[in-house]
Amino acid sequence: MDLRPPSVRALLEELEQLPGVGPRTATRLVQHLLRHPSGARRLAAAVAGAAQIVRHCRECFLLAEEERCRLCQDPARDREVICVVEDPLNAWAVEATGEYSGLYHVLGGTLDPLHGVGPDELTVSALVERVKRNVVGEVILATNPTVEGEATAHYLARVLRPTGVRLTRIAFGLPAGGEISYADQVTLTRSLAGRRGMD
Amino acid sequence: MILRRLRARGFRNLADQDLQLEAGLTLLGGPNGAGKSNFLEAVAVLGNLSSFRPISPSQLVCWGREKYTLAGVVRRAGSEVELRQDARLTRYLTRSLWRGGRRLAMGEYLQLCPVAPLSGYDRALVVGAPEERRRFLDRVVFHLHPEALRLLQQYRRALRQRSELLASGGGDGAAEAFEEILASSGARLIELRLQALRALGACLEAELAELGWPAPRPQVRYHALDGLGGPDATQLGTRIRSALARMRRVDAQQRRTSVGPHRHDLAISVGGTPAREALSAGQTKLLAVALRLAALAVLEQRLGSSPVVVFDDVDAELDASTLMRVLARLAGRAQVLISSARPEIVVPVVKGGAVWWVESGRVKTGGAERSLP
Ligand SMILES: Nc1ncnc2c1ncn2[C@@H]1O[C@H](COP(=O)(O)OP(=O)(O)O)[C@@H](O)[C@H]1O
Ligand SMILES: [Mg+2]
Ligand SMILES: [Zn+2]
Repeated sequence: MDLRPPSVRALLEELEQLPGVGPRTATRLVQHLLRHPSGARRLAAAVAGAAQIVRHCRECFLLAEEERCRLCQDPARDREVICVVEDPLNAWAVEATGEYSGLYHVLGGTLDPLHGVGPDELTVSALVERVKRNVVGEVILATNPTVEGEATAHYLARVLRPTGVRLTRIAFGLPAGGEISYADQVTLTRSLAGRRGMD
Repeated sequence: MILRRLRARGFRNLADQDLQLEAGLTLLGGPNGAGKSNFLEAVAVLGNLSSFRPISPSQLVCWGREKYTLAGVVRRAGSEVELRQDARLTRYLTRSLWRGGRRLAMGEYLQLCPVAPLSGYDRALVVGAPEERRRFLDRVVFHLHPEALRLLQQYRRALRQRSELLASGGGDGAAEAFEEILASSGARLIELRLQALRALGACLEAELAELGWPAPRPQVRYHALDGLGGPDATQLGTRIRSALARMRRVDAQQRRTSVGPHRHDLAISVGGTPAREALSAGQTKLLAVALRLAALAVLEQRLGSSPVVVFDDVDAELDASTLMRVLARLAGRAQVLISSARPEIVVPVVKGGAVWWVESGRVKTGGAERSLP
Protein backbone atom coordinates (compact mmCIF):
# COMPACT_ATOMS: atom_id res chain seq x y z
CA MET A 1 0.00 0.00 0.00
CA ASP A 2 1.26 3.47 -0.84
CA LEU A 3 1.51 5.13 2.53
CA ARG A 4 2.08 8.61 1.14
CA PRO A 5 -0.93 10.92 1.48
CA PRO A 6 -2.07 12.42 -1.85
CA SER A 7 -0.81 15.90 -0.96
CA VAL A 8 2.67 14.56 -0.22
CA ARG A 9 2.64 12.54 -3.40
CA ALA A 10 1.67 15.63 -5.40
CA LEU A 11 4.48 17.58 -3.80
CA LEU A 12 6.98 14.84 -4.57
CA GLU A 13 5.85 14.73 -8.18
CA GLU A 14 6.30 18.48 -8.59
CA LEU A 15 9.74 18.46 -7.00
CA GLU A 16 10.90 15.63 -9.22
CA GLN A 17 10.16 17.78 -12.25
CA LEU A 18 12.93 20.14 -11.17
CA PRO A 19 16.33 19.82 -12.82
CA GLY A 20 18.79 17.80 -10.77
CA VAL A 21 16.12 16.46 -8.41
CA GLY A 22 15.53 12.72 -8.38
CA PRO A 23 13.17 10.69 -6.17
CA ARG A 24 15.66 10.51 -3.33
CA THR A 25 16.38 14.24 -3.22
CA ALA A 26 12.67 14.97 -3.52
CA THR A 27 11.95 12.78 -0.53
CA ARG A 28 14.62 14.52 1.53
CA LEU A 29 13.27 17.94 0.56
CA VAL A 30 9.74 16.94 1.51
CA GLN A 31 10.89 15.60 4.84
CA HIS A 32 12.64 18.86 5.56
CA LEU A 33 9.71 21.00 4.47
CA LEU A 34 7.21 19.09 6.57
CA ARG A 35 9.43 19.29 9.58
CA HIS A 36 9.55 23.10 9.21
CA PRO A 37 5.97 24.13 8.34
CA SER A 38 6.51 27.89 8.67
CA GLY A 39 9.49 27.75 6.35
CA ALA A 40 7.43 25.66 3.97
CA ARG A 41 4.71 28.30 3.93
CA ARG A 42 7.26 31.04 3.25
CA LEU A 43 8.69 28.98 0.39
CA ALA A 44 5.23 28.42 -1.05
CA ALA A 45 4.48 32.13 -0.89
CA ALA A 46 7.81 33.01 -2.49
CA VAL A 47 7.26 30.55 -5.32
CA ALA A 48 3.70 31.72 -5.91
CA GLY A 49 4.70 35.38 -5.76
CA ALA A 50 7.59 34.96 -8.17
CA ALA A 51 5.55 32.89 -10.57
CA GLN A 52 2.92 35.59 -10.66
CA ILE A 53 5.09 38.68 -10.88
CA VAL A 54 8.24 37.68 -12.69
CA ARG A 55 8.41 38.14 -16.42
CA HIS A 56 10.97 38.96 -19.02
CA CYS A 57 11.98 42.56 -19.55
CA ARG A 58 10.51 43.70 -22.82
CA GLU A 59 13.80 45.30 -23.79
CA CYS A 60 16.56 42.95 -22.66
CA PHE A 61 14.71 39.80 -21.51
CA LEU A 62 16.30 39.80 -18.08
CA LEU A 63 13.93 38.67 -15.35
CA ALA A 64 11.93 41.63 -14.12
CA GLU A 65 8.84 42.56 -12.14
CA GLU A 66 7.95 45.44 -14.45
CA GLU A 67 7.65 45.73 -18.21
CA ARG A 68 11.18 47.04 -18.31
CA CYS A 69 13.73 45.82 -15.80
CA ARG A 70 15.40 48.12 -13.29
CA LEU A 71 18.62 48.00 -15.23
CA CYS A 72 17.02 49.16 -18.47
CA GLN A 73 15.43 52.02 -16.53
CA ASP A 74 18.65 53.02 -14.78
CA PRO A 75 19.92 56.33 -16.26
CA ALA A 76 23.40 55.63 -14.94
CA ARG A 77 23.93 52.64 -17.26
CA ASP A 78 25.84 53.03 -20.49
CA ARG A 79 23.15 52.48 -23.12
CA GLU A 80 25.60 52.23 -25.97
CA VAL A 81 26.97 48.85 -24.95
CA ILE A 82 24.99 45.63 -24.98
CA CYS A 83 26.31 42.41 -23.53
CA VAL A 84 24.58 39.40 -25.09
CA VAL A 85 24.26 36.35 -22.85
CA GLU A 86 22.51 32.99 -23.06
CA ASP A 87 20.48 33.22 -19.89
CA PRO A 88 19.86 35.48 -16.88
CA LEU A 89 22.36 33.54 -14.75
CA ASN A 90 25.15 34.54 -17.06
CA ALA A 91 24.08 38.18 -16.87
CA TRP A 92 24.09 37.98 -13.08
CA ALA A 93 27.63 36.58 -13.19
CA VAL A 94 28.85 39.38 -15.45
CA GLU A 95 27.09 41.93 -13.24
CA ALA A 96 28.71 40.47 -10.14
CA THR A 97 32.15 41.45 -11.43
CA GLY A 98 31.14 45.09 -10.89
CA GLU A 99 33.17 45.94 -14.00
CA TYR A 100 30.35 46.24 -16.46
CA SER A 101 28.18 49.31 -16.79
CA GLY A 102 26.27 48.67 -20.01
CA LEU A 103 23.01 46.86 -20.74
CA TYR A 104 22.30 43.19 -21.40
CA HIS A 105 20.43 41.08 -23.87
CA VAL A 106 19.29 37.61 -22.87
CA LEU A 107 18.99 35.21 -25.80
CA GLY A 108 17.14 32.48 -23.95
CA GLY A 109 19.57 29.77 -25.04
CA THR A 110 21.83 28.99 -27.97
CA LEU A 111 21.46 27.62 -31.44
CA ASP A 112 21.06 23.91 -30.81
CA PRO A 113 19.58 21.96 -33.72
CA LEU A 114 19.90 18.68 -31.82
CA HIS A 115 17.35 20.06 -29.37
CA GLY A 116 15.28 21.83 -31.97
CA VAL A 117 16.50 25.33 -31.17
CA GLY A 118 16.99 27.66 -34.11
CA PRO A 119 17.25 31.45 -34.31
CA ASP A 120 13.46 31.81 -34.09
CA GLU A 121 13.42 30.17 -30.67
CA LEU A 122 15.82 32.82 -29.38
CA THR A 123 15.47 36.57 -28.98
CA VAL A 124 17.69 37.21 -31.97
CA SER A 125 15.36 39.40 -34.02
CA ALA A 126 14.56 41.49 -30.95
CA LEU A 127 18.30 42.05 -30.55
CA VAL A 128 18.73 43.12 -34.16
CA GLU A 129 15.79 45.49 -33.83
CA ARG A 130 17.21 46.88 -30.64
CA VAL A 131 20.56 47.58 -32.23
CA LYS A 132 18.94 49.23 -35.24
CA ARG A 133 16.53 51.36 -33.21
CA ASN A 134 18.95 52.67 -30.63
CA VAL A 135 22.33 54.27 -30.66
CA VAL A 136 24.48 51.26 -29.89
CA GLY A 137 28.24 51.46 -30.22
CA GLU A 138 29.24 47.96 -29.20
CA VAL A 139 27.68 44.54 -28.84
CA ILE A 140 29.65 42.14 -26.65
CA LEU A 141 28.93 38.54 -27.52
CA ALA A 142 29.21 36.74 -24.20
CA THR A 143 27.75 33.34 -24.99
CA ASN A 144 29.45 30.37 -23.33
CA PRO A 145 32.61 28.84 -24.80
CA THR A 146 30.80 25.67 -25.89
CA VAL A 147 30.27 24.58 -29.49
CA GLU A 148 26.71 25.91 -29.37
CA GLY A 149 27.75 29.14 -27.68
CA GLU A 150 30.48 29.74 -30.24
CA ALA A 151 28.17 28.95 -33.13
CA THR A 152 25.62 31.37 -31.72
CA ALA A 153 28.26 34.09 -31.47
CA HIS A 154 29.18 33.49 -35.12
CA TYR A 155 25.55 33.61 -36.09
CA LEU A 156 24.90 36.86 -34.22
CA ALA A 157 28.00 38.43 -35.74
CA ARG A 158 26.64 37.55 -39.14
CA VAL A 159 23.20 39.03 -38.60
CA LEU A 160 24.46 42.12 -36.76
CA ARG A 161 27.30 42.97 -39.13
CA PRO A 162 25.06 44.88 -41.58
CA THR A 163 24.10 47.31 -38.78
CA GLY A 164 27.72 48.44 -38.62
CA VAL A 165 27.86 48.07 -34.84
CA ARG A 166 31.22 47.11 -33.33
CA LEU A 167 31.13 43.42 -32.42
CA THR A 168 33.34 41.91 -29.75
CA ARG A 169 33.67 38.47 -28.25
CA ILE A 170 34.73 37.99 -24.66
CA ALA A 171 38.16 36.41 -24.40
CA PHE A 172 38.27 32.97 -23.00
CA GLY A 173 40.69 32.43 -20.27
CA LEU A 174 37.53 30.72 -19.15
CA PRO A 175 37.91 26.97 -19.16
CA ALA A 176 36.83 25.90 -22.63
CA GLY A 177 33.48 24.19 -22.53
CA GLY A 178 32.86 25.82 -19.20
CA GLU A 179 30.14 28.26 -18.33
CA ILE A 180 30.25 31.93 -17.65
CA SER A 181 28.09 31.51 -14.60
CA TYR A 182 30.61 29.09 -13.04
CA ALA A 183 33.65 31.25 -13.71
CA ASP A 184 35.17 33.12 -10.81
CA GLN A 185 35.00 36.90 -10.82
CA VAL A 186 38.68 37.47 -11.53
CA THR A 187 38.58 35.23 -14.61
CA LEU A 188 35.37 36.77 -15.82
CA THR A 189 36.63 40.31 -15.32
CA ARG A 190 39.71 39.44 -17.31
CA SER A 191 37.77 37.86 -20.16
CA LEU A 192 35.52 40.87 -20.33
CA ALA A 193 38.43 43.28 -20.38
CA GLY A 194 40.25 41.16 -22.96
CA ARG A 195 37.35 41.03 -25.42
CA ARG A 196 38.33 41.14 -29.06
CA GLY A 197 36.75 42.44 -32.19
CA MET A 198 35.03 39.84 -34.37
CA ASP A 199 35.56 40.08 -38.07
CA MET B 1 55.86 3.54 -16.30
CA ILE B 2 54.80 0.49 -14.36
CA LEU B 3 51.35 -0.63 -13.30
CA ARG B 4 52.07 -2.15 -9.92
CA ARG B 5 48.61 -3.15 -8.85
CA LEU B 6 45.37 -3.86 -10.61
CA ARG B 7 41.98 -4.25 -9.04
CA ALA B 8 39.10 -5.61 -11.10
CA ARG B 9 35.48 -5.80 -9.99
CA GLY B 10 32.74 -6.93 -12.31
CA PHE B 11 34.90 -6.66 -15.42
CA ARG B 12 34.13 -9.12 -18.26
CA ASN B 13 34.71 -12.68 -17.07
CA LEU B 14 37.49 -11.75 -14.65
CA ALA B 15 37.07 -12.92 -11.09
CA ASP B 16 37.03 -10.01 -8.64
CA GLN B 17 40.74 -9.81 -7.98
CA ASP B 18 43.54 -7.63 -6.67
CA LEU B 19 46.75 -8.38 -8.49
CA GLN B 20 50.34 -7.33 -7.99
CA LEU B 21 51.92 -6.86 -11.39
CA GLU B 22 55.58 -7.03 -12.16
CA ALA B 23 58.01 -4.90 -14.08
CA GLY B 24 59.51 -6.30 -17.26
CA LEU B 25 57.86 -9.06 -19.26
CA THR B 26 54.93 -11.15 -18.11
CA LEU B 27 53.49 -13.86 -20.32
CA LEU B 28 49.93 -15.00 -19.73
CA GLY B 29 49.07 -18.51 -20.79
CA GLY B 30 45.82 -20.40 -20.60
CA PRO B 31 43.24 -22.14 -22.77
CA ASN B 32 40.90 -20.37 -25.17
CA GLY B 33 38.18 -18.50 -23.37
CA ALA B 34 40.11 -18.42 -20.09
CA GLY B 35 40.21 -14.63 -19.83
CA LYS B 36 43.69 -13.76 -21.09
CA SER B 37 42.41 -11.11 -23.47
CA ASN B 38 39.98 -9.89 -20.83
CA PHE B 39 42.85 -9.39 -18.42
CA LEU B 40 44.93 -7.43 -20.93
CA GLU B 41 41.78 -5.56 -21.82
CA ALA B 42 41.35 -4.58 -18.18
CA VAL B 43 44.82 -3.03 -18.28
CA ALA B 44 44.14 -1.25 -21.58
CA VAL B 45 40.75 0.04 -20.44
CA LEU B 46 42.15 1.16 -17.10
CA GLY B 47 44.69 3.34 -18.89
CA ASN B 48 43.04 4.25 -22.20
CA LEU B 49 39.29 3.92 -21.52
CA SER B 50 39.13 1.81 -24.65
CA SER B 51 39.92 -1.73 -25.57
CA PHE B 52 42.07 -3.11 -28.35
CA ARG B 53 39.09 -5.05 -29.61
CA PRO B 54 36.08 -3.51 -31.26
CA ILE B 55 33.54 -4.05 -28.50
CA SER B 56 30.93 -1.67 -27.25
CA PRO B 57 31.70 -0.20 -23.82
CA SER B 58 28.62 -1.82 -22.32
CA GLN B 59 30.21 -5.23 -22.97
CA LEU B 60 32.98 -4.43 -20.53
CA VAL B 61 30.63 -5.07 -17.65
CA CYS B 62 30.40 -8.70 -16.54
CA TRP B 63 27.19 -10.25 -17.80
CA GLY B 64 24.41 -10.01 -15.25
CA ARG B 65 26.08 -7.20 -13.35
CA GLU B 66 25.55 -3.48 -13.75
CA LYS B 67 28.82 -1.94 -12.79
CA TYR B 68 32.51 -2.51 -12.88
CA THR B 69 35.47 -0.93 -11.19
CA LEU B 70 39.03 -0.93 -12.44
CA ALA B 71 41.70 0.60 -10.26
CA GLY B 72 45.43 0.62 -10.34
CA VAL B 73 48.56 2.03 -8.86
CA VAL B 74 50.98 3.24 -11.47
CA ARG B 75 54.57 4.17 -10.78
CA ARG B 76 55.78 7.02 -12.93
CA ALA B 77 58.79 9.27 -12.58
CA GLY B 78 59.47 7.96 -9.09
CA SER B 79 56.04 8.65 -7.64
CA GLU B 80 52.95 6.49 -7.36
CA VAL B 81 49.61 7.50 -8.78
CA GLU B 82 46.32 5.84 -7.91
CA LEU B 83 43.78 5.82 -10.66
CA ARG B 84 40.30 4.37 -10.72
CA GLN B 85 37.26 4.21 -12.91
CA ASP B 86 33.78 3.33 -11.72
CA ALA B 87 31.48 2.34 -14.53
CA ARG B 88 27.75 1.95 -14.33
CA LEU B 89 25.62 0.39 -17.00
CA THR B 90 22.20 1.83 -17.56
CA ARG B 91 21.24 2.41 -21.16
CA TYR B 92 24.82 3.47 -21.81
CA LEU B 93 27.98 2.92 -19.88
CA THR B 94 28.86 5.95 -17.80
CA ARG B 95 32.19 6.21 -16.06
CA SER B 96 33.53 8.39 -13.30
CA LEU B 97 37.28 8.81 -13.33
CA TRP B 98 39.44 9.31 -10.29
CA ARG B 99 42.97 10.06 -9.26
CA GLY B 100 43.06 9.26 -5.58
CA GLY B 101 40.09 11.15 -4.17
CA ARG B 102 39.92 13.68 -6.98
CA ARG B 103 37.53 13.34 -9.86
CA LEU B 104 39.13 13.90 -13.25
CA ALA B 105 38.06 14.96 -16.70
CA MET B 106 38.73 12.43 -19.42
CA GLY B 107 41.65 14.37 -20.89
CA GLU B 108 43.47 14.42 -17.55
CA TYR B 109 42.72 10.81 -16.75
CA LEU B 110 44.00 9.53 -20.09
CA GLN B 111 47.42 10.94 -19.33
CA LEU B 112 47.88 9.05 -16.06
CA CYS B 113 48.67 5.62 -17.43
CA PRO B 114 48.72 5.45 -21.22
CA VAL B 115 48.83 1.86 -22.42
CA ALA B 116 50.30 0.83 -25.77
CA PRO B 117 47.92 -1.85 -27.00
CA LEU B 118 48.89 -4.52 -29.53
CA SER B 119 46.64 -7.36 -30.57
CA GLY B 120 45.40 -9.53 -33.40
CA TYR B 121 42.81 -6.87 -34.16
CA ASP B 122 45.55 -4.50 -35.25
CA ARG B 123 45.41 -5.92 -38.75
CA ALA B 124 42.38 -3.68 -39.13
CA LEU B 125 44.88 -0.81 -39.27
CA VAL B 126 46.01 -2.19 -42.62
CA VAL B 127 42.91 -3.88 -44.04
CA GLY B 128 40.07 -2.31 -42.05
CA ALA B 129 37.86 0.75 -42.53
CA PRO B 130 39.29 4.30 -42.58
CA GLU B 131 37.85 4.86 -39.12
CA GLU B 132 40.40 2.43 -37.64
CA ARG B 133 43.30 4.42 -39.02
CA ARG B 134 41.77 7.76 -38.05
CA ARG B 135 41.32 6.59 -34.49
CA PHE B 136 44.90 5.31 -34.47
CA LEU B 137 46.29 8.58 -35.78
CA ASP B 138 44.13 10.69 -33.48
CA ARG B 139 45.47 8.73 -30.52
CA VAL B 140 48.99 9.75 -31.56
CA VAL B 141 47.76 13.32 -31.97
CA PHE B 142 46.37 13.20 -28.44
CA HIS B 143 49.65 11.89 -27.05
CA LEU B 144 51.54 14.74 -28.64
CA HIS B 145 48.90 17.38 -27.91
CA PRO B 146 46.50 16.38 -25.13
CA GLU B 147 44.45 19.52 -25.77
CA ALA B 148 43.47 17.94 -29.10
CA LEU B 149 40.93 15.80 -27.29
CA ARG B 150 38.76 18.83 -26.77
CA LEU B 151 39.27 19.90 -30.33
CA LEU B 152 38.07 16.51 -31.49
CA GLN B 153 35.04 16.62 -29.21
CA GLN B 154 34.18 20.09 -30.49
CA TYR B 155 34.53 18.99 -34.06
CA ARG B 156 32.29 15.95 -33.55
CA ARG B 157 29.69 17.98 -31.74
CA ALA B 158 29.61 20.62 -34.47
CA LEU B 159 29.28 17.84 -37.07
CA ARG B 160 26.23 16.42 -35.34
CA GLN B 161 24.70 19.87 -35.00
CA ARG B 162 25.26 20.68 -38.66
CA SER B 163 23.84 17.35 -39.86
CA GLU B 164 20.78 17.75 -37.68
CA LEU B 165 20.33 21.33 -38.79
CA LEU B 166 20.50 20.45 -42.47
CA ALA B 167 18.25 17.43 -42.03
CA SER B 168 15.61 19.58 -40.36
CA GLY B 169 15.78 22.22 -43.05
CA GLY B 170 17.55 24.89 -40.99
CA GLY B 171 18.70 28.10 -42.65
CA ASP B 172 22.04 28.88 -44.26
CA GLY B 173 22.94 31.36 -41.53
CA ALA B 174 22.80 28.81 -38.74
CA ALA B 175 24.54 26.22 -40.92
CA GLU B 176 27.30 28.70 -41.57
CA ALA B 177 27.71 29.25 -37.83
CA PHE B 178 28.44 25.59 -37.18
CA GLU B 179 30.56 25.36 -40.32
CA GLU B 180 32.69 28.13 -38.91
CA ILE B 181 33.52 25.88 -35.97
CA LEU B 182 34.07 22.87 -38.22
CA ALA B 183 36.46 24.95 -40.29
CA SER B 184 38.57 26.24 -37.44
CA SER B 185 38.69 23.04 -35.38
CA GLY B 186 38.96 20.89 -38.52
CA ALA B 187 41.89 22.86 -39.88
CA ARG B 188 43.71 22.63 -36.58
CA LEU B 189 42.97 18.92 -36.35
CA ILE B 190 44.38 18.25 -39.82
CA GLU B 191 47.44 20.29 -38.98
CA LEU B 192 48.02 18.25 -35.81
CA ARG B 193 47.43 15.01 -37.70
CA LEU B 194 50.01 15.88 -40.34
CA GLN B 195 52.46 16.74 -37.60
CA ALA B 196 51.73 13.46 -35.78
CA LEU B 197 52.07 11.56 -39.03
CA ARG B 198 55.54 13.00 -39.63
CA ALA B 199 56.65 11.78 -36.20
CA LEU B 200 54.95 8.44 -36.79
CA GLY B 201 56.46 8.00 -40.25
CA ALA B 202 59.98 8.47 -38.96
CA CYS B 203 59.41 5.94 -36.17
CA LEU B 204 57.74 3.49 -38.56
CA GLU B 205 60.73 3.54 -40.83
CA ALA B 206 62.96 2.71 -37.86
CA GLU B 207 60.67 -0.08 -36.64
CA LEU B 208 60.47 -1.69 -40.06
CA ALA B 209 64.24 -1.65 -40.25
CA GLU B 210 64.50 -3.25 -36.80
CA LEU B 211 61.97 -5.89 -37.77
CA GLY B 212 64.04 -6.66 -40.85
CA TRP B 213 61.45 -5.63 -43.40
CA PRO B 214 63.08 -5.81 -46.84
CA ALA B 215 62.69 -3.09 -49.47
CA PRO B 216 60.31 -1.80 -50.61
CA ARG B 217 59.09 -0.74 -47.20
CA PRO B 218 55.50 0.35 -46.57
CA GLN B 219 54.78 4.06 -46.78
CA VAL B 220 52.03 5.96 -45.01
CA ARG B 221 50.47 9.09 -46.47
CA TYR B 222 47.65 11.33 -45.33
CA HIS B 223 44.77 10.69 -47.67
CA ALA B 224 42.05 13.27 -48.18
CA LEU B 225 39.75 12.61 -51.12
CA ASP B 226 38.14 16.00 -50.57
CA GLY B 227 41.49 17.70 -51.19
CA LEU B 228 41.47 19.22 -47.71
CA GLY B 229 44.54 17.43 -46.46
CA GLY B 230 47.18 19.55 -48.07
CA PRO B 231 50.20 20.87 -46.22
CA ASP B 232 48.98 24.41 -46.87
CA ALA B 233 47.53 24.80 -43.42
CA THR B 234 47.15 28.58 -43.57
CA GLN B 235 44.40 28.37 -46.14
CA LEU B 236 42.91 25.21 -44.74
CA GLY B 237 40.24 26.87 -42.60
CA THR B 238 39.03 28.99 -45.50
CA ARG B 239 39.05 26.00 -47.83
CA ILE B 240 37.07 23.82 -45.42
CA ARG B 241 34.57 26.62 -44.93
CA SER B 242 33.91 27.04 -48.62
CA ALA B 243 33.83 23.28 -49.25
CA LEU B 244 31.19 22.91 -46.54
CA ALA B 245 29.12 25.74 -47.99
CA ARG B 246 29.37 24.18 -51.43
CA MET B 247 28.22 20.77 -50.19
CA ARG B 248 25.32 22.04 -48.09
CA ARG B 249 22.57 20.96 -50.50
CA VAL B 250 24.03 17.51 -51.11
CA ASP B 251 24.74 17.01 -47.43
CA ALA B 252 21.17 17.92 -46.52
CA GLN B 253 19.93 15.15 -48.81
CA GLN B 254 22.45 12.57 -47.66
CA ARG B 255 22.13 13.51 -44.01
CA ARG B 256 25.84 13.64 -43.40
CA THR B 257 28.77 15.99 -43.81
CA SER B 258 30.73 14.84 -46.81
CA VAL B 259 33.93 16.82 -46.46
CA GLY B 260 36.37 17.35 -43.63
CA PRO B 261 38.86 15.44 -41.48
CA HIS B 262 36.22 12.97 -40.28
CA ARG B 263 36.31 11.55 -43.81
CA HIS B 264 40.09 11.39 -44.14
CA ASP B 265 42.25 8.31 -44.08
CA LEU B 266 45.81 7.07 -44.07
CA ALA B 267 46.92 5.50 -47.34
CA ILE B 268 49.35 2.66 -46.66
CA SER B 269 51.18 1.38 -49.69
CA VAL B 270 54.07 -0.91 -50.55
CA GLY B 271 55.99 -0.09 -53.69
CA GLY B 272 53.02 1.86 -55.03
CA THR B 273 50.41 -0.86 -54.35
CA PRO B 274 47.87 -0.52 -51.53
CA ALA B 275 49.20 -2.57 -48.61
CA ARG B 276 45.97 -4.51 -48.21
CA GLU B 277 46.42 -5.87 -51.73
CA ALA B 278 50.17 -6.36 -51.58
CA LEU B 279 50.76 -8.14 -48.29
CA SER B 280 50.31 -11.68 -46.99
CA ALA B 281 48.38 -12.29 -43.77
CA GLY B 282 51.61 -12.58 -41.80
CA GLN B 283 53.07 -9.43 -43.37
CA THR B 284 49.83 -7.58 -42.66
CA LYS B 285 50.08 -8.51 -39.01
CA LEU B 286 53.74 -7.52 -38.91
CA LEU B 287 53.02 -4.15 -40.51
CA ALA B 288 50.24 -3.57 -37.99
CA VAL B 289 52.69 -4.43 -35.21
CA ALA B 290 55.20 -1.99 -36.70
CA LEU B 291 52.55 0.75 -36.77
CA ARG B 292 51.72 0.11 -33.11
CA LEU B 293 55.39 0.05 -32.18
CA ALA B 294 55.90 3.32 -34.04
CA ALA B 295 53.04 4.90 -32.09
CA LEU B 296 54.61 3.52 -28.93
CA ALA B 297 57.95 5.10 -29.88
CA VAL B 298 56.29 8.49 -30.46
CA LEU B 299 54.62 8.24 -27.08
CA GLU B 300 57.91 7.25 -25.46
CA GLN B 301 59.67 10.25 -26.94
CA ARG B 302 56.94 12.45 -25.59
CA LEU B 303 56.81 10.91 -22.11
CA GLY B 304 60.54 10.38 -21.73
CA SER B 305 59.70 6.90 -20.45
CA SER B 306 58.01 3.76 -21.66
CA PRO B 307 54.27 3.31 -21.18
CA VAL B 308 52.77 -0.03 -20.20
CA VAL B 309 52.62 -2.35 -23.22
CA VAL B 310 50.02 -5.08 -23.66
CA PHE B 311 50.16 -7.53 -26.56
CA ASP B 312 47.28 -9.98 -26.91
CA ASP B 313 47.80 -13.24 -28.83
CA VAL B 314 51.38 -12.34 -29.49
CA ASP B 315 52.21 -15.39 -31.58
CA ALA B 316 49.14 -15.44 -33.82
CA GLU B 317 50.05 -15.44 -37.50
CA LEU B 318 53.77 -14.84 -36.98
CA ASP B 319 56.45 -17.32 -37.93
CA ALA B 320 59.08 -18.22 -35.35
CA SER B 321 61.80 -15.85 -36.51
CA THR B 322 59.42 -12.92 -36.93
CA LEU B 323 57.99 -13.59 -33.49
CA MET B 324 61.51 -13.48 -32.11
CA ARG B 325 62.19 -10.11 -33.73
CA VAL B 326 58.88 -8.71 -32.47
CA LEU B 327 59.59 -9.86 -28.92
CA ALA B 328 63.08 -8.40 -29.16
CA ARG B 329 61.46 -5.00 -29.86
CA LEU B 330 59.48 -5.34 -26.64
CA ALA B 331 62.35 -6.50 -24.48
CA GLY B 332 63.85 -3.86 -22.24
CA ARG B 333 60.62 -1.90 -22.00
CA ALA B 334 59.50 -1.03 -18.49
CA GLN B 335 56.49 -3.33 -18.42
CA VAL B 336 55.20 -5.65 -21.09
CA LEU B 337 52.21 -7.95 -20.62
CA ILE B 338 51.66 -10.48 -23.38
CA SER B 339 49.33 -13.39 -23.89
CA SER B 340 49.38 -16.55 -25.91
CA ALA B 341 47.09 -19.55 -26.20
CA ARG B 342 50.23 -21.58 -26.87
CA PRO B 343 52.74 -20.30 -24.34
CA GLU B 344 54.98 -23.31 -24.99
CA ILE B 345 55.82 -21.66 -28.32
CA VAL B 346 56.48 -18.27 -26.79
CA VAL B 347 58.34 -19.28 -23.64
CA PRO B 348 61.47 -20.52 -25.43
CA VAL B 349 61.66 -17.24 -27.30
CA VAL B 350 61.33 -14.80 -24.41
CA LYS B 351 64.35 -14.29 -22.26
CA GLY B 352 63.49 -13.84 -18.62
CA GLY B 353 60.16 -12.62 -17.34
CA ALA B 354 57.29 -14.26 -15.53
CA VAL B 355 54.75 -16.73 -16.81
CA TRP B 356 51.25 -16.53 -15.38
CA TRP B 357 48.34 -18.81 -15.90
CA VAL B 358 44.74 -17.76 -16.52
CA GLU B 359 41.81 -20.05 -15.98
CA SER B 360 38.09 -19.32 -15.76
CA GLY B 361 38.76 -15.63 -15.32
CA ARG B 362 41.22 -16.12 -12.51
CA VAL B 363 44.81 -14.99 -12.93
CA LYS B 364 47.38 -17.07 -11.08
CA THR B 365 50.41 -14.91 -10.55
CA GLY B 366 53.93 -16.00 -9.63
CA GLY B 367 54.72 -19.57 -8.75
CA ALA B 368 54.42 -20.73 -12.30
CA GLU B 369 57.51 -18.75 -13.21
CA ARG B 370 59.04 -20.31 -16.30
CA SER B 371 57.35 -23.61 -15.59
CA LEU B 372 54.11 -24.28 -17.34
CA PRO B 373 51.38 -26.46 -15.91
N1 LIG C 1 30.90 -9.09 -20.43
C1 LIG C 1 31.27 -10.36 -20.13
N2 LIG C 1 30.92 -10.90 -18.96
C2 LIG C 1 31.27 -12.16 -18.65
N3 LIG C 1 31.99 -12.97 -19.46
C3 LIG C 1 32.35 -12.47 -20.64
C4 LIG C 1 32.02 -11.16 -21.04
N4 LIG C 1 32.52 -10.95 -22.27
C5 LIG C 1 33.14 -12.10 -22.61
N5 LIG C 1 33.05 -13.01 -21.65
C6 LIG C 1 33.60 -14.35 -21.61
O1 LIG C 1 34.97 -14.28 -21.34
C7 LIG C 1 35.56 -15.41 -21.88
C8 LIG C 1 37.05 -15.21 -21.99
O2 LIG C 1 37.34 -14.30 -23.02
P1 LIG C 1 38.83 -13.94 -23.46
O3 LIG C 1 39.50 -13.17 -22.42
O4 LIG C 1 38.68 -13.30 -24.79
O5 LIG C 1 39.52 -15.38 -23.58
P2 LIG C 1 41.01 -15.74 -23.98
O6 LIG C 1 41.65 -16.28 -22.77
O7 LIG C 1 40.88 -16.77 -25.05
O8 LIG C 1 41.68 -14.50 -24.48
C9 LIG C 1 34.82 -15.65 -23.17
O9 LIG C 1 34.68 -17.02 -23.40
C10 LIG C 1 33.47 -15.05 -22.94
O10 LIG C 1 32.46 -16.02 -22.85
MG1 LIG D 1 42.16 -14.03 -26.44
ZN1 LIG E 1 15.91 45.08 -19.30
